Amino acid sequence: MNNQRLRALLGYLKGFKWLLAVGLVFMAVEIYLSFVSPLVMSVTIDSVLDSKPVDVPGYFRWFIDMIGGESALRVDALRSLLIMAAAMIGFRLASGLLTFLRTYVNSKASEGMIKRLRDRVYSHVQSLPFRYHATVQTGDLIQRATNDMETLRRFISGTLLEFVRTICLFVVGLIVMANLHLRLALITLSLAPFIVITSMIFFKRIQNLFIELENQESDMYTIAQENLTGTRVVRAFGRERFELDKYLKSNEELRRRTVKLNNMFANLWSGLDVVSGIQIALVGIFGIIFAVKDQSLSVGEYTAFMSYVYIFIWPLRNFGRVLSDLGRSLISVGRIEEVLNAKPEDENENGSTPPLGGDIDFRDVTFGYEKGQKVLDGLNMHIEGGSTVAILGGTGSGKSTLAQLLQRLYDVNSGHITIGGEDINKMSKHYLRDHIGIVLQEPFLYSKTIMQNIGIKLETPEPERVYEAAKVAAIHDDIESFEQGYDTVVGERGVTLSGGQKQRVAIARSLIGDSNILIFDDSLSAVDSKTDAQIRAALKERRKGTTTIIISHRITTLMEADKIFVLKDGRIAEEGTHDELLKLGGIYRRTYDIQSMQAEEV
Amino acid sequence: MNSAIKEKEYQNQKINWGTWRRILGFASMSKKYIWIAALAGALTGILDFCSQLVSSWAIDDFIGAMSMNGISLYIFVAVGLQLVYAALTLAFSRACGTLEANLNADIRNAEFRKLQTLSFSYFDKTSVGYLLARVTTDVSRTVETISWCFIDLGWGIMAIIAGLVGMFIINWRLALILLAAMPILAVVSVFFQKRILRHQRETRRLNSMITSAINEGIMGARTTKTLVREELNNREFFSTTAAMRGASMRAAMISALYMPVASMIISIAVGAVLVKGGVDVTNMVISIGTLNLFINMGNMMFEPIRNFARIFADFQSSQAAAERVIDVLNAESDIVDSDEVVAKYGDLFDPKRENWEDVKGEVEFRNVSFSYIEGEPVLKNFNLKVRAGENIALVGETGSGKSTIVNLVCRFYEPQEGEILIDGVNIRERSQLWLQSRLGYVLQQPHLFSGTIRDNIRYGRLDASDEDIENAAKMVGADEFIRTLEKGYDTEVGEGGGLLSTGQKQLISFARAIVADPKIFVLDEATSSVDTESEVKIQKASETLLRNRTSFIIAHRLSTVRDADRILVIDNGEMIEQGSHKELMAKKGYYYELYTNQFRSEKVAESVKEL
Repeated sequence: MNNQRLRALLGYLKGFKWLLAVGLVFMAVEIYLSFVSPLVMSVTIDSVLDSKPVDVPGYFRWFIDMIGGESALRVDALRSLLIMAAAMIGFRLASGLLTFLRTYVNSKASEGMIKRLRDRVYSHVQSLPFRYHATVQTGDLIQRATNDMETLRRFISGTLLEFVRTICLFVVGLIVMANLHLRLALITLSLAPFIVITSMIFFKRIQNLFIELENQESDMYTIAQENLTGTRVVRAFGRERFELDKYLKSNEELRRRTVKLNNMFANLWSGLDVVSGIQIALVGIFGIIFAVKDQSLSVGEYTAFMSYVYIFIWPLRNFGRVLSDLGRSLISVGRIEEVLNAKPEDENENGSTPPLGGDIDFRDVTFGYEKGQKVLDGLNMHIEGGSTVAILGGTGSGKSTLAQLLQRLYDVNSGHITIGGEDINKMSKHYLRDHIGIVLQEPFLYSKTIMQNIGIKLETPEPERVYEAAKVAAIHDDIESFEQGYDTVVGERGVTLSGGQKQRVAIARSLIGDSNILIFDDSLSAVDSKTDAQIRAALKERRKGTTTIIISHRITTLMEADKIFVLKDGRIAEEGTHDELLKLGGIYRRTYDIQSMQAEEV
Repeated sequence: MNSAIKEKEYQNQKINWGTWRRILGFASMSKKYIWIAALAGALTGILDFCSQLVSSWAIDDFIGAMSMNGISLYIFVAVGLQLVYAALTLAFSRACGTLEANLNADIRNAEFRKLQTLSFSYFDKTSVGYLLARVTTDVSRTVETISWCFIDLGWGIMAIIAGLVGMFIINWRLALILLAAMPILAVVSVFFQKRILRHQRETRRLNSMITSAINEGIMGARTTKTLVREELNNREFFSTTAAMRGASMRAAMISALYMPVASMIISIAVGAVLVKGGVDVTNMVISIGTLNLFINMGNMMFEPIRNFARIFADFQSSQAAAERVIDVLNAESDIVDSDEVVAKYGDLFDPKRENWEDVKGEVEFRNVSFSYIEGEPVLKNFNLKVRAGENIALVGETGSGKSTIVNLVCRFYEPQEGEILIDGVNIRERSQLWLQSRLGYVLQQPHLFSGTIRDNIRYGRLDASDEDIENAAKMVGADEFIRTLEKGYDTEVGEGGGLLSTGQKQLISFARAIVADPKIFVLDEATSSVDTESEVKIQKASETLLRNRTSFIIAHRLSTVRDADRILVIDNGEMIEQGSHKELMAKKGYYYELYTNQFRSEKVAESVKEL
């Protein structure tokens, strides 16, 4: 399982290998230089200010040979000091330059990876079939696409780098130090495993505390949220005190847990301070012993080691966190991979693209959302191209299913649906959906301006077409009455529209596409009868050869259709014009009677 | 609110120390932690210099002198020093963390308390999401900045002071060289921190854009499918992530430039120290240990300066958050009980129930004018007298003012002109809680709290027995569906009641109002989503429920309205008709028209159920 995740994680790096390799080289050199800088000081102390032979790695010796060799160091102390100072500045400059270059290369790679991964998750989610979105827990999916993604982002652009850097630091540091004095080098790193393991265990342990803390935090958040959304209820029952007490209690618990966790951290940091402090003291003491007793260490080397021990301390302590982060990131990788592994919808891209103005036929269509369920059961229906038909059906009779099947948001279990004689299964899904407009009862509007929402299918804004569509949908005047008119932002971040306004914006939106087939799925339910009639009249006016399907349970909405179908138990129970169905004396008649009788009873 | 505007006001932030002093005022109970943090920081700063002294002691007295005399004292000091470091770390990280937790809790509590007292006009203008951010992220950002600054300040100041004093005592010439570099470093640090801050803001802004795009991409996925908008959505998203990549890179680059530049300035100063100090060593003016100390101090002194620049940037970047927190704390309610009222009746949190008169339920509007927005009056010179126990139905189009009338009765708003009397006394002469805790209020959009069904019904009266709760549920016909649930009354309703249907939530909120045994009942479209059967039940129960209680009913289904003692037809903030159902029908006026129209569409839904 973890192997799979690790492989997936490595897969994210694909395509950036060269950048990463270059970054790694830069990093190694940069770290190397950070170890050289104290050496300059060391040489100065030992060979310029004192007369010990120069005991440094090859490249440094090359530098000394260049300035006239070892002997020249002692001839003119001032000149040598100036050269050494210049060397130190030069090394810093080189190291700084490398830091800059490495950051450039690394962030180019990591930001590129993050962008690619984000784009991939987003477009993948877009490509998942309707069924997936209808059944998935949206909250969970959003969590995965945002929170888990954020964990990965931090990992890729921070933790991963630190992980590599720490390892690199160890390797390079050990080589440089061992070259100077092997025993002291080993002492310098003697407590390192202890520090790393302790902090690793700690971070593993507190993971549960972190989760508890997060839960407590969301508990408090929920109380605040429910209180603020329910202000009216709180006020109407005079429950301010009760609410405050509830909040105080939760907040106190949060405070308690935070302090507890923080104190654990304080213990860890100070505990590690003790260990690394002893580490520093050990280098100091053994350095003296090696220098005085064995005389195997010079003063300069001593100062160099005292600098080195500090270089390791912070990365060492952090390494435990880095490792535990790696574990957490792998969990997020798993959660994201689950989404990425969901099968995208087969778009049938090379399908046919016939004209869709012809007759629509449902032949022996059987369909259920789940196995064994039969929402439609051998349904047969013929809709003449360009006509207006209406469908009457109760809740759960499958009328919305008809619309979804026609757009191939779901596929029939058996039977065929044809448009103009051609099976829709043979058509390109994009083409099909592009030419069938659906307006749902509870439409979703995007967090954009109303102008953009209505013109959502347009690649470039065409205000005139938007106005025209808005007028047909009887929403133009409403929009004009808003302070910012068509530029009013709706949705999550903007103005909340009423149910009826949303429905009408959605109707306008569906008109822009110039669809061959228009389906109104109970989409006038929140609009009053007068406006309903007005919209239908405007639609009739505008419609030229558009097949229109109106689903409703309001007889007045249905009665003017060219043909009316009554759907019951997954089949067509009655069909005909308003007058025919009235004569028939079936369900339609009864519904009509109830609706009109009740009205007359008044 | 437009996010672009929010971001703009956020960018021109100058640090306003008054705001921070106010925030710090909340730490009055935690003052000792501030002192501990600052003190521990200061000591650490001094220790930093001491450990350099210890190093030069080792170099000069042991290695340089080739002697081990006094090594045991050295070991003792070297180890002791490290232990003191560890103890200080323990002290300040506990102190700062506790301070942070306390400040967070105290400020949040104060905000929450304030929010309980604010009037509806405030909530009308402010979205819940906006307020939630004020009590969560804004507080934690503000508090984090201020809680951890004391250790950093204490350490930074002392590290510089101790370092400079020590160095000047040891060798003032070398100390001067290092001192000269400090202002340059400070200027460079501020220059870079400002830019780093700006870039961080940009990435934060883009990040929130990405998050909301993902949200929308998922919430609207089905609509996107029906509109075939996947490609366009992708294109928009990709361009946002591309902008994010650019901004993140720029932010990383500017940070990556800062360190090398600062490091160069330092190494020039250190280089100068090396030359001057080296000459001094050859002239036997200073020891090698001292030279080493100056070189190390030179390399270290960058840290406190960088730290100051960072603290400054932190304050600057959380200034806006701090101000928004203060804004909530400073918000004033439109409706405030006068001091005399509070003295007699108590406030929202500590009511003096012993002084409360009973509510009989007589309501009177005297020449009341009211507007939500100045210049757009909703009610003009409105007059109404309701007997105690009378059942009033309000009828009219959306926006006609019927909800406003009810809101005024509940004192959720106060009229700009005229007065409202309850039991003959001006509503302002008694406390808000006196009235509001006697209300039974059922809304169209029922609001439940997480917890069980039982908890939610009990919200109406906290000391209600289980029997009271079940009786109330039976009265509204909620008992049946509750019993079909596996855990019955102990079923969790989920966040905001999300696990129940709207109709079920309405029934429960109805039961909640009944349990409250209110003197004044307000039903605002209370049963619009309830099925016909339950509604018949509620209607029957209403006869007993509403007897002897003043009630105001706003109903969509006019069948509910029919039985009211008096029906008021409201149009444009004026009462155009009033009377019983029979009287109004006979009049064939506005009510008759409305009734015939609505009754028809109302029956549509019912008839379909018979299909």
